[in-house]
Amino acid sequence: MNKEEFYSQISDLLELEGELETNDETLIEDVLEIDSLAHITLISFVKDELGFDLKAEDFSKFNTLLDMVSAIGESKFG
Amino acid sequence: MLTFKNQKVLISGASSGIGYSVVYLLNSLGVYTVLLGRDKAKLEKSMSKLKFPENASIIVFDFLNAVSIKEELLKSVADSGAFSGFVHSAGVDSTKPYKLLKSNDFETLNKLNITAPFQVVKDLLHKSIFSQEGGSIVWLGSVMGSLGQKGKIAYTSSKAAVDGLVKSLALELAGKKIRVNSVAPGIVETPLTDDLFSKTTEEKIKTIEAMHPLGFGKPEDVANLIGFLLSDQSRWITGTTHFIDGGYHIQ
Repeated sequence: MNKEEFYSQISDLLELEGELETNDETLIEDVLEIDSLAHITLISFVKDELGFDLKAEDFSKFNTLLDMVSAIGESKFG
Repeated sequence: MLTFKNQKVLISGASSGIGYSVVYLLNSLGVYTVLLGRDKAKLEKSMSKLKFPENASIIVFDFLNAVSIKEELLKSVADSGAFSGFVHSAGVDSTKPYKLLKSNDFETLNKLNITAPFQVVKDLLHKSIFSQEGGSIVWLGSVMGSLGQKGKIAYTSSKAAVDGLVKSLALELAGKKIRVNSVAPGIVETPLTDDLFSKTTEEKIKTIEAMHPLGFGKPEDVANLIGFLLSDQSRWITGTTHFIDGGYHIQ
């Protein structure tokens, strides 16, 4: 999965279409505000698809989706 | 004062959390305990911390991979006599919204909560392994087996199955004087809960704690109830689910 597909899948999972565009600059706080299960959805999705363990506390360190991608490691995105 | 006549109890998930608290309580009360778990080093470390480690032993067993435990149980009987109890406390957290759930998430939980421990019970109840005077089996369910919670579809359905299983199994085993019950805890401070809390925010943890009028529980709180259900004093209790949740489910 490349970075664009990753963003697209986040958009599908959290039903962001029409509400929020997902790209490098998308603010994490806007994504998390969409759904009370957004934290768990992102943590489970990243674990299942990329094998990376995110913690809820990590989100406070991210400003944008690109920050999350950097923490996971850009090398994990094909 | 709880009494345990000629008791020897097998406890799964015995290295830590509620399982270890049950082991510690029973061992302190003079019951022979067999610690069951998948990590030998952790089991040995837990056993070494008991008051009477000479009155305990370990069996290494992985519920998700093993098929039968009969040989190990037979060896244990040869060493320290027949079993009279089993506590299934091994568990795993699963928090996933429905969009991410796959059939293998259900399969893993059902194997750990239902099918694998059920096979252990079948092996355990063989007449050369289990006391012919009867005994007690306690399954660890959850308050989530009776209530819903976002992200807990696989977990709640599997824990609900535990409560169903104990009812029917209790009826089948009543004639042998073997009682079967489940306990249904709310949030208890264990390593498993640490895993759950790592996926949620401080604010949400506070909300979850507020849903428990008496606050979060300690492993010893649940171990005391399990100890009672294994003891001679609960001889007329079978086929029931016992809530122990600091008042979570009454709201």
